[in-house]
Amino acid sequence: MSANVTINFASGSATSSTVEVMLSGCTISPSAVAGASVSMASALTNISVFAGQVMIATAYNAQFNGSLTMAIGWTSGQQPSVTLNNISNPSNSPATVMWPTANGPQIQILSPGNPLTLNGIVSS
Amino acid sequence: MSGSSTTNPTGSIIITYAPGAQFTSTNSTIVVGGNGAFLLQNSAPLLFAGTITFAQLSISTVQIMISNTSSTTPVNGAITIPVTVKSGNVPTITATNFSGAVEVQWPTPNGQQTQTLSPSDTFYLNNFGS
Repeated sequence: MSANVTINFASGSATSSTVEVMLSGCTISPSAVAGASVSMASALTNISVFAGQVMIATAYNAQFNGSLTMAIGWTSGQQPSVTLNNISNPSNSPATVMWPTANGPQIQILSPGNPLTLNGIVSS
Repeated sequence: MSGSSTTNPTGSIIITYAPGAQFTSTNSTIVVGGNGAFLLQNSAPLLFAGTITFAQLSISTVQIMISNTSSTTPVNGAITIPVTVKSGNVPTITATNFSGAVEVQWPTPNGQQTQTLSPSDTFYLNNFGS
């Protein structure tokens, strides 16, 4: 099973030299047309893309405005989840995550350090 | 018992941009061919190290596209790309829209091979695989 999951960064600040997106119950599964896509208002210079993790090297306190889209794959019975680390803003909502469900796209706030289960995710 | 199994060669290609190199367009691509494909693993990531500036980055199994707002962007660093290829094939790499000294390095059974990479030339990674 596969779907695109998009994290939209909303002016969070990096609290470390590395901002991490970690996946559980799924992996980034590129195809010939999609895999991982990053778009940022401020240019980046260093990134590591693992099967289960994306690490963005950045300056401490750097602002994150932009998006990260990942084509993820999982097997039936697995429950994909995503965790965002080392980024914050005053409202504790430095990003949102969007994923497809049978009832349309689901969007939830991604709070730093808290794994968010992508409930109801379906193949897209 | 009879029969045999084949293993698809895998390894990491390293493209190194020396000081003075530039992306010469808003889009620069790295394409793998020859029945090769990028392979993401937890033990071998796709890695941008040094100063590989990008405003947008898109990755599929066969292409990496690095996009910037300027048509000339200095680049000085290395991109490490895990690759697999179907057994019996020679993977190729084609990189576009750059200038300056750029090298491609890949593993062979006889050690690392390093060659100069020219823009838009399809480069054969002979004897690929460690």
